[in-house]
Amino acid sequence: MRVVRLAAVAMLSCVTSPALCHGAQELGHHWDSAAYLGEMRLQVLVICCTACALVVGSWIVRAVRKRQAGR
Amino acid sequence: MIRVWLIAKTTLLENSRKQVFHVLCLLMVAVIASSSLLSILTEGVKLKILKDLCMTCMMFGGAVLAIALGATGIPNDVESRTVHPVLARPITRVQYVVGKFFGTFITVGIGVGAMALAFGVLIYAYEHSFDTFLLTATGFTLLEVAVVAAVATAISTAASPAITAVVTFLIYIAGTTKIGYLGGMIERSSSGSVGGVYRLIYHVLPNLECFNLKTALVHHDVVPTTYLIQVAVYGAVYTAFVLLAGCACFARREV
Repeated sequence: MRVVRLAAVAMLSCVTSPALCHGAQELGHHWDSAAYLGEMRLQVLVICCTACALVVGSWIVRAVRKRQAGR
Repeated sequence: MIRVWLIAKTTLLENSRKQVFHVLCLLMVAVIASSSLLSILTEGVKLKILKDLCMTCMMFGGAVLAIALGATGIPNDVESRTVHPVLARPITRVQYVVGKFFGTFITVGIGVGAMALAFGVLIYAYEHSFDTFLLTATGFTLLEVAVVAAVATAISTAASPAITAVVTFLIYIAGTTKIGYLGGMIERSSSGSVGGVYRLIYHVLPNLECFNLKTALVHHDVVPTTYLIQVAVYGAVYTAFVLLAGCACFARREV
């Protein structure tokens, strides 16, 4: 019963989310809103930067280990 | 790639036998089919209400299916120790996690496809023409489902099914109301270091509202192609990154 209640509350919150929006900009189409586009671009940029940093970091660690093993 | 497909196929067969898949699919298809009865009450906007309700069903049903199936896949294999013979074969842990994700995604895709078919038939019955934008809206719903399934799979590599389901569901709710509700709330209520933590959590959360093309389908609005491309790239990048984090977590775990 608790699961059904939780699911009902969750569905209602999803459906009514536009009504809870703050500001006229968010009440319009989200493809016209700069907030959505900006957030999307920021996240893609951060993900790409993190992936690059991880690749470079693992490459450096591997190179250092290789050099230590060579000595 | 063949090994990933083998894991995905096994996961698909495993998931298609689960009761939760059958019950949720039948429930959502039943709601979509019976939505025409509900719209009798409102003659003028009958089709709009029907489309709104059907799209909500597809999005919510798809997400719940992705959470229910994604949260149980890996933990059940670890608990029943069926993961041992799989990993003893020449299959890496990354291939296993990616295969599990694709299996879950394909299963949910079949469910969402059934819902979209029922929805398409209803629209055809009312309009006597097929709304091609329904295919686009369904495609982006599937992309949202992929993000949710990736989050569930990534969390399930380190947590139990119950914790995974609850955390993924919270992320889904927060991601759905991220820009519209959470953003404004954080801007007003937080400051200092606590505000910084809130903002960090806010930026880590997926922006699931951008996959919602319900309004465009209901009101026949034109969505810019550049926006659709950006959303598609965003969905693919976010899914890949979350899955990569899950693979890294599973690679270090004792099973």
